[in-house]
Amino acid sequence: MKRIAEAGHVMAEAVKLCEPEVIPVYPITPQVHIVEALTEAVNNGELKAKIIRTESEHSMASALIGSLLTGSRSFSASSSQGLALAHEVLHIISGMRLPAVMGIAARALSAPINIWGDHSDVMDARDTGWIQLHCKNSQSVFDTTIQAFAIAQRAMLPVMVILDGYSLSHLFEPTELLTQQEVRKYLPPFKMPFTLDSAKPMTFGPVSFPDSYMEFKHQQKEAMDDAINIIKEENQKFAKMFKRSYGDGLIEIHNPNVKEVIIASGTAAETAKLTGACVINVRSFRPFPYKEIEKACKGKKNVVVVDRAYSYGSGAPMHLEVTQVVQNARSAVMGLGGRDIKLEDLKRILKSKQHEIWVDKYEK
Amino acid sequence: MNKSKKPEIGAVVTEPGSAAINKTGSWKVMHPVVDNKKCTRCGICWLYCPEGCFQIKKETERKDVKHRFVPNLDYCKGCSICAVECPFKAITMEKEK
Repeated sequence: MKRIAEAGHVMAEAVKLCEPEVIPVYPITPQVHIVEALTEAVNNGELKAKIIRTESEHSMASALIGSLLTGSRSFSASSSQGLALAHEVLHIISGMRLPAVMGIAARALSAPINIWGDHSDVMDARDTGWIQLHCKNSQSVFDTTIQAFAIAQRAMLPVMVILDGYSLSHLFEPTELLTQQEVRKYLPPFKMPFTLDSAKPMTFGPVSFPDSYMEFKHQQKEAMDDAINIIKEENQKFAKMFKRSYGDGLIEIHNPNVKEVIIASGTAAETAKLTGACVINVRSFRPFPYKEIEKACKGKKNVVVVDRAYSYGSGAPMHLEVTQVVQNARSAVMGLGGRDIKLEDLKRILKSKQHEIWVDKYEK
Repeated sequence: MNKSKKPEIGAVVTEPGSAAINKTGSWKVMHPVVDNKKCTRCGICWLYCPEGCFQIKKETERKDVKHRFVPNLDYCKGCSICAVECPFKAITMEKEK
């Protein structure tokens, strides 16, 4: 069934089909359309879920912990300052190995205050132990959201489904939707290994002394490493059932025979296709597909990494990752705070010799 | 955490009462010693101990009183509050060996 809808509403539609039981919410632009659509679905009786109206994103993330521990599939969404406020709880969710799914309409961080799209907020959360999947268009928002629930359950790790604020979250596109039966066939029922039960008391989130903390953190590292294969397998399973796939699940390669390469994630990768260069769309930022990118960049001459965030005093986050496997990759910082990523800018950065370019004010 | 068992996912402790296994007084450098003759059983040490370490036990040495206050050194951190607060100077702090 094809429908023309806003990508934020498409995400809500996908969440609805995954039948979460608890949705803690707190509004923030540009995420708000996602949870608005979900609260409406609950109000209209289309979705049997409990909406928890919290007083902050910190409480929203905390409510996710409680709801998941009762054994209920749970979803929430946030952006920017909200995600930053929930930051410490994000670490707790991943450390407790809870399979939460959160939609993130990626947006700039203050100061100066700016409500438009870039990747500052999700890059800020890159070390929280969450799987981070980027979406390139409305269709990928729908498919990735459904896959995210399956990946979270299998890896026992939380997943962020990231759609660029406004440039994707508010974009209307024709999108192929699935039916309830189809999603039920793909997504296994939700089950937690341990749940809150007064008949069988357990301790969740206990203190861990220096003699055990490292063991738990190593388990988490191994789980994230294993997630590479889980993401690939879920992409294959989805492709087999519904005839839609996203590269190998981790990266998508467009024009693989061209020597010039643009590496980007989200909507910027779609624009970059128009340059005619080889485009590597990084779908999974955490876990980061080092091996896959190294293989894709073998024999390439000119590799440019487009970032929509910056690590001050260091460099652009995705460029830092890519240089581990492609040493001479150049960096282009673009589209901060919602500035358009234009085709002519992308063409220009390919020709430039500058190692790090801030488009378009600081080009030599 | 019970070290004999494999750590569960997300550090879940599946058996109740795990706090009792963990003796938290291992790192103290001083411990209280009660002089049973000087002690009047006023209970100030029992009341002031921030860890609730003083336990009321049956008296066996003296015949004039029925009970005595004994510090549980498994949980005592050696803070000395009992020794400072004792009005009869019946508690002294001694170094751990």
